[in-house]
Amino acid sequence: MLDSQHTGSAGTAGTIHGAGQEAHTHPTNTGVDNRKFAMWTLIASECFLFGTLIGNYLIHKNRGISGPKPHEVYQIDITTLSTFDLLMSSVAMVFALYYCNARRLRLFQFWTGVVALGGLIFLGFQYIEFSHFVLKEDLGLTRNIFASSFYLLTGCHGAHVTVGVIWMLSILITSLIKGDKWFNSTMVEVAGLYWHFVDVVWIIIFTVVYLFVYV
Amino acid sequence: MSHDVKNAKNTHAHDEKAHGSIKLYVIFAVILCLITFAEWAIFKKRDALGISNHMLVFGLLLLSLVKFVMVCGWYMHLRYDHKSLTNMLIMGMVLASATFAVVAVVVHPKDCSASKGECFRLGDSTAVPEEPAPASP
Repeated sequence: MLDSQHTGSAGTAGTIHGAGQEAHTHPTNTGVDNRKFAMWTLIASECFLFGTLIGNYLIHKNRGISGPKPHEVYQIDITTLSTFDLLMSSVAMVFALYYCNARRLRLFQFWTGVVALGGLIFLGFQYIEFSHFVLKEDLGLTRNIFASSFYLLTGCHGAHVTVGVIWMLSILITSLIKGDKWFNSTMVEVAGLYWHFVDVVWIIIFTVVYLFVYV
Repeated sequence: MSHDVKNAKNTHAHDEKAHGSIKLYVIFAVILCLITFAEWAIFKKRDALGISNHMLVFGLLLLSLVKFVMVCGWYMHLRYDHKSLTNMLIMGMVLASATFAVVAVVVHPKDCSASKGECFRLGDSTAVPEEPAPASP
């Protein structure tokens, strides 16, 4: 019943995309593709995880007994650049899905590669930041409660970016191997949802953690 | 033109209507960049502009919210998708906010005593009021 009422993209993926793996999409209770629904469930629970980590950071950021304070160590210019980078990788992800739906293999592969590259550049920025903290500011993981809560939050986000990069590379490699036979729009859309969520979390972290440093 | 290719082209046209066009995504990308630049500029020039802390928090949260809505609504296609997905995201956000509020109150309950005249401020260690020294005889 719900299936027939649904007019969204994923629930109809099996029919509108025609050939290929998506022809095997099963009808669902919710009218939303099961893979997509599962990803949104994961995203909801991840909201909870990151909300807790951000709360933990806010409560403890100025309570360190020793060691540098947040405003003494943050490099806002570099963090702004990494934010730009992650936002642009999100745009690249939108293009990748667009060209996957349009069945333009080369463009799809190009933009998927750009997404993975954007993620790798972001991880590079994070490596530079952490190295600066540890080597120049002597701010290791256990130096004080600010450091612990900061590394826990940003490290957890970095781990999510790493998973996203691996996912993008696996999609890229699969499409390179299988060529035109592989056009799995729903799989790309689900991966895109994950990637956009990682971007959304960083939007919040950038504001609340970095820009509110003096608040 | 084979049936499959014709089908794919129809699908592509359908998706453009359902998800938005490349032009729209590019416009959004430019807006997202401009907002991020504005956030950075506001942060850097807050003293020169004479922006108070309250205004800074409000302004930056507002800009952040705009970016959040743009990415979730258009890039993640929530605007075009089933309502249950939006509800799921809202549920996650509400649960996260509620947990944060509970932790903020529970972790340092003594600091939020109205009788002491000072209330707990997040992340501010100096807000913890000191006990008054005993009166000398």
